[in-house]
Amino acid sequence: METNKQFFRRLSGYYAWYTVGFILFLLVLAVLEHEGMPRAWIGYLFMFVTIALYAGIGVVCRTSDVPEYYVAGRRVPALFNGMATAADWISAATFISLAGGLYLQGFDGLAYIMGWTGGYCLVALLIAPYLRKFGQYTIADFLAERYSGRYSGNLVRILAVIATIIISFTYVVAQIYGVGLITSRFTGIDFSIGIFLGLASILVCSFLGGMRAITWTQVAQYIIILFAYLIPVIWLSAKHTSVPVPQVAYGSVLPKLNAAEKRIAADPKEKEVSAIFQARAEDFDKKLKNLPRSWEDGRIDAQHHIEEIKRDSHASLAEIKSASRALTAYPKTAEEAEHKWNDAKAYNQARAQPPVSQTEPFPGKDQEASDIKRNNFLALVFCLMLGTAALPHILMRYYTTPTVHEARKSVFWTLFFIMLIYITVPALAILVKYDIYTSLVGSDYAHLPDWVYYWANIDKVNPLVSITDLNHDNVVQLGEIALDGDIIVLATPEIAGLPYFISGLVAAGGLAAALSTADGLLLTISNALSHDVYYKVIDPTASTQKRVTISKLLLLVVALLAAYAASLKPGDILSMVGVAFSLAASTLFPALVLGIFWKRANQAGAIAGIVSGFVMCVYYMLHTHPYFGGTAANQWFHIAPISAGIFGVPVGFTALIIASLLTPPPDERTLALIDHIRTP
Amino acid sequence: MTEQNSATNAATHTATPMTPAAYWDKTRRLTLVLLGLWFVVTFVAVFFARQLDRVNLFGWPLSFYMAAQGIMLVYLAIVVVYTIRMRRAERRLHLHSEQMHGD
Repeated sequence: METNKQFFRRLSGYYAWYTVGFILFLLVLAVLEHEGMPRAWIGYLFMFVTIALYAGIGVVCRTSDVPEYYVAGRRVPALFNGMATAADWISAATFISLAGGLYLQGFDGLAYIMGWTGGYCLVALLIAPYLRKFGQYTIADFLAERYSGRYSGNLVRILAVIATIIISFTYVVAQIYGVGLITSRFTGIDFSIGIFLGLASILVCSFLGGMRAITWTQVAQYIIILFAYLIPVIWLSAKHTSVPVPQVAYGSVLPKLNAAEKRIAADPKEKEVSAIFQARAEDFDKKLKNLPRSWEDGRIDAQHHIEEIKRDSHASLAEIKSASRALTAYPKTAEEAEHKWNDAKAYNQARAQPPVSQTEPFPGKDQEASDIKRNNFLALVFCLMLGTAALPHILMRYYTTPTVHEARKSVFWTLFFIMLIYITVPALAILVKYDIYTSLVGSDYAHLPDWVYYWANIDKVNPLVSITDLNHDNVVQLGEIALDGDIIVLATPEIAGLPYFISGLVAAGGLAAALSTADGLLLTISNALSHDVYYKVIDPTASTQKRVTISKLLLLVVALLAAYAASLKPGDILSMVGVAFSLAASTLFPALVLGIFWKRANQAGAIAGIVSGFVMCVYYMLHTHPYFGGTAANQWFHIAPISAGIFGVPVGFTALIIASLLTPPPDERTLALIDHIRTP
Repeated sequence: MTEQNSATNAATHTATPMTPAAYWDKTRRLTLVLLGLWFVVTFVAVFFARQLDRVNLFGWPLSFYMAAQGIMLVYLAIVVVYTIRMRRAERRLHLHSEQMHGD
């Protein structure tokens, strides 16, 4: 049996060669592109080579051994566990949407950067070392063992499993959705085929090798993510600051960006564009006030318009087509009109607003509006941090290290590797913004750069980027640019003028981010079902062989369900990821932390805490999130539904403490267990 | 690797044993202090972000710098300090259990 140190050295060798191989692959593609290989082929090559690679690692690491399958044999060195957890952590949302969020929201977007890194302080200080010492397989294992008592320990276990599944499932659907998005955009294949291709690679990997295969694939995926995220930003940084270290250099761009923001805000042409949107919004407002008559009039007008055009012998086919399209798109009922026009009014009002400042914290029209922004920022940071410290697919990874010390060290490496990306995100947002503000704004409308045409044509119904010369001056104004945040990262190479193979690399990085997170989540769900429900509750005598087989079958079922849910294209699912954090914080965090630090916490307390935290969080979301039919008027202290955890967490803690104090303290066995996990 | 070994030896030479109760006491105190630091840099700094915005740090507005980079570095430092201090305490604890078995 080789020692940990030898194992570490062998692994380092493998991944060093892997990295060299990957760089060679990039160089070969660069040469091929130079020799005239078509763009589509570069996209295909990136997709198939990386997916085949992940599947290959899955085949090499196949296993049916229980500790190998569930916790990778508990011998993953801290550094590699850190890398794997970072890949597990960096999801499609982080990779694709985070920089876009910062670009569009300015300072407010930083709540995600802070929340998603600061949560690891809590993981390190409060949870990871103790879970590793406990040393079982799932989060439900820990809660069930810690909160044994009058009722069967399975009650807590089932509650924890339900929470795990709800949290992880919303999360995994968003990842698979991201896989479909990236594959369809970069290779032109159909969205649903993209989903199933991605799924195939996830399955080969986790189906054959469980945690072991996933761990080694995630390390490989992290390396690709790192390359894909850093290369375009380094290039942009060198272009605008002549220092190729974007994390440091973008500071020098900030004053220049501020100056550009001020110049644009004072530009009379911008005010013209803003006035056009304001007029449109007022127009919709007028129509809304005159409902339902305005709806009737509008329909009759549209019909007249068609008839007129048809009578006119000079009208072109295109004109007739667009007129009849306008009629079919016209709202069918007055209610539909109200809904549509309200959206249109809000959209135009938003476009009429001057752009937000990138660095000013909580801009608002008065002190109160600014305070509401600040409070929401703080609440969101709170929920994201506590949610991070309670996400089952992340915590599970700390079972895989050889010792408690390695678990602590591996939280450090996790945070380190996550930071490499997160520290670059604001740099990317600001450099791209500077590029757009200085070279696109003010340019000739007749000669837009190629990337604008390319990205505008990918989705013609809801274009990702659209530029319309509203005030007919043949010059691009900032107000005329509508940009979807999701393309900021994916289009950066083209905005920066990099060759196409770098675009392919970025797509491969986004794919790796989505796949690695989906891998971890699917395994978490299937383990919760096979280990916690099947083995611990239904059939405790099941052989190890049978347990692993059941787990693999469940993995298949869950993966197909998630792919099906993603193929329905639930547009709001990406915002649901944020909701998963609030839910994790409210349900699992109090039970986990008090279970370790408060001996008096008992079973009745845990049940009360988990249930009331969950109920509080869900109640608030249902009443305030428009997706579930709630309205903003129901908000308490103007807190957005995504931060429901700010109410759920205190309720969960209070319920746990009160119920524990009202019932007898935990028994001797539980106290011994607590002492055991507290001693490394 | 040899560096680590010599560090281990140095630590075992100078370290004094620690009972499990003292170890847990120390863990709790360290956790509390670092959590306090975490709380201050996160919530207090953001609460006063508008006031900090007037301060400039090498061209960066301070509150933006903190939220985009500075606070993250503090988080990393918190985890580093925790890992190192706990490693030291853990060694002293193991020294204690070795002695107990030795006697």
